[in-house]
Amino acid sequence: MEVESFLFNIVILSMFVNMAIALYGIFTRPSLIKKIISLTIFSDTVNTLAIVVGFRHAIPNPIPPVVVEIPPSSQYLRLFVSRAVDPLPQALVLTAIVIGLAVVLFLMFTTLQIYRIYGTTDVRKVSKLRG
Amino acid sequence: MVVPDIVHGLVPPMLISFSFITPLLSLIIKSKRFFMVYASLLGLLTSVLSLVIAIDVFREGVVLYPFGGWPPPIGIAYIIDKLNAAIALLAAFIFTLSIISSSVYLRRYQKASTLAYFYTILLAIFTGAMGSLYTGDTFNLFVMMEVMCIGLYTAVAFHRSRAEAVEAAIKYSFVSIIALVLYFFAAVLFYSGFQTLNMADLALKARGNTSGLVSGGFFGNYIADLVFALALTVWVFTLESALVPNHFWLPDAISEAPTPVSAVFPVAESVAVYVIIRYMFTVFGPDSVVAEGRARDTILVILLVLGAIASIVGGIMMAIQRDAKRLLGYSSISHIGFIYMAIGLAFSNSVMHRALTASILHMINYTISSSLLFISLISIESAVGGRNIDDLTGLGRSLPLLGFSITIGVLNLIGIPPLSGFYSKFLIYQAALEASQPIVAVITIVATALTLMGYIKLLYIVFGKPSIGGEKPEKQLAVSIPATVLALLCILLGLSITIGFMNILEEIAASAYSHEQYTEVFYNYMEQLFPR
Repeated sequence: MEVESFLFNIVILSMFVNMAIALYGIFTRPSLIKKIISLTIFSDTVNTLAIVVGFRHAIPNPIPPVVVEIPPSSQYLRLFVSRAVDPLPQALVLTAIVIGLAVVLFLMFTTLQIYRIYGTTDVRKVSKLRG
Repeated sequence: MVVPDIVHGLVPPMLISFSFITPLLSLIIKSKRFFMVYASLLGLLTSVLSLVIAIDVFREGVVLYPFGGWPPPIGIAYIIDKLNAAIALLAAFIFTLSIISSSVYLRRYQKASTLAYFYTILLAIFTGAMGSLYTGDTFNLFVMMEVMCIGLYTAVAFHRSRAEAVEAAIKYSFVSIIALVLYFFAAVLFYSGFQTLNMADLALKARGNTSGLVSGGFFGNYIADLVFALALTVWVFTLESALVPNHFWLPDAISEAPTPVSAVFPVAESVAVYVIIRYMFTVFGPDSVVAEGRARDTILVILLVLGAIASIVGGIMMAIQRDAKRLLGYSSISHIGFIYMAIGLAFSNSVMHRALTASILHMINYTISSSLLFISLISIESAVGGRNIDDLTGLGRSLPLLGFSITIGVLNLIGIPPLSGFYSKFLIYQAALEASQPIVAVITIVATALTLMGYIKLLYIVFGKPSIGGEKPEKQLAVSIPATVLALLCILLGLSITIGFMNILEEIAASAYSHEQYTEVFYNYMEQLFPR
């Protein structure tokens, strides 16, 4: 039990560290491609954290929030309610992943266009706008 | 049993489906006129629907629309009160006028499919703005903000072979995407602490009433979650509304976007400001848990200080601009600063009512007149082929309607007495004095004086001497009629402020900070479906 909660804390802590590293990558790397990679790491870490929020400690183990017995008996439902993890964060994460896909596609397209126009993806050289 | 009215939830799904049909239609239909009429009719239809919703709300009180029949704390619900109904009506109106005037801007494109893509983007922005205004759900707000912002990035990158446009798009999209991911994180934190995503549910729980709620009680250390999440939310939406120090993307984006899209940027900013008002006053108001540990006061004071800085920085930067659209972008920053100053003044409860009235009135004024100026610029810049303000001098002379509306728009932004821009600045001044913050009152005057330098340049478009042998802009009714309508609206608001419009505004402001009606509708609906 103590080992379990210790490991759980380590997982959450490492996610925050991961977010910090990803943000560092976004703000300091000059290459747009590396910025995009850091951005996907960042948003995926947030998504994973959302999944962890829906996690639930159950003995012996939590089960996925899917009813497999149709029609469910009342005994099965009791077991299900006491052990299933929260499905809502997973639904939120699905939506966020789809949005993230659209956003990354847009970023890739714009980066490609920048490469075509400026001949580089280094943001320090992409500076026609001033003031 | 209350049967929800389909009209209340119709606008965003209708707009997004028509938006996604548009590129498919361009495969079959090759007429440019068709797409203009199609988008304009959709805009008009949405304006009528939002007018109907606003009338319903003002007559019968707060409206709740559950999506797909899922009752509120479980499913997504639209909760529409006077504040969002009024802003959404204004937004729909401005979007419609921008769509109508875009027909002039798009005249240079030969292919009908270009128009189809343009209107797809514009309608997607429209959907996002209306959805984020109407929604009563924290996560749905994130989705709708993403819809709006993805639309805006694509619109900024619309001239994809222009180096500046692509650069502005990448700048804007990177910061905005990071911000919205953080808002998603904040929504998850709200969920982890309060076990709900519904705003009315959050509002009830933030005031400690958990009796009878389907979503149950709190989980874990919810205060820590709440403060962290609220701080993130406020940061994200101040970035989306371009408050200093996160304003750097706005002048680039607004000047490189196609001008009809620049005309809807003020609406997009007002949406973000609305979200801040909604979170800071309706959901986590002065009587909620956040107010106890001074966390809320701190956030509001920070907004006040940043707003004051923004109004001055915007004013100074305006004076040195040569590009007309960029100048208006810095004017946006300055006015967003004024709005946040008014919001920040509401930290003392005694002036909250007046300060919110001032901020809402200033938001309405700023949105109308800034959009008006961008719409007028469509016609003028298409005559010259550039946006350098020296080349535009005197072009408004030969177009009486357009010259009139530009003058009214500029005077409204400065705040000349008969127009409503004066009343909103005066209200901010008064609220600052009432809150015993004389420095803020002085800053409003100083910032207005600073912006004057920039606005005089714009007035030269109308009153300056036209250069000899320069091109004369054509008369374009599709631009001058929307611009004149907005100019007349400015005058009308200013004249009616003493004879009744002020009462409506005060009602709107009251609905922003009193959560009773907002949560009552939710509670009654939930009680009907889940009898305890």
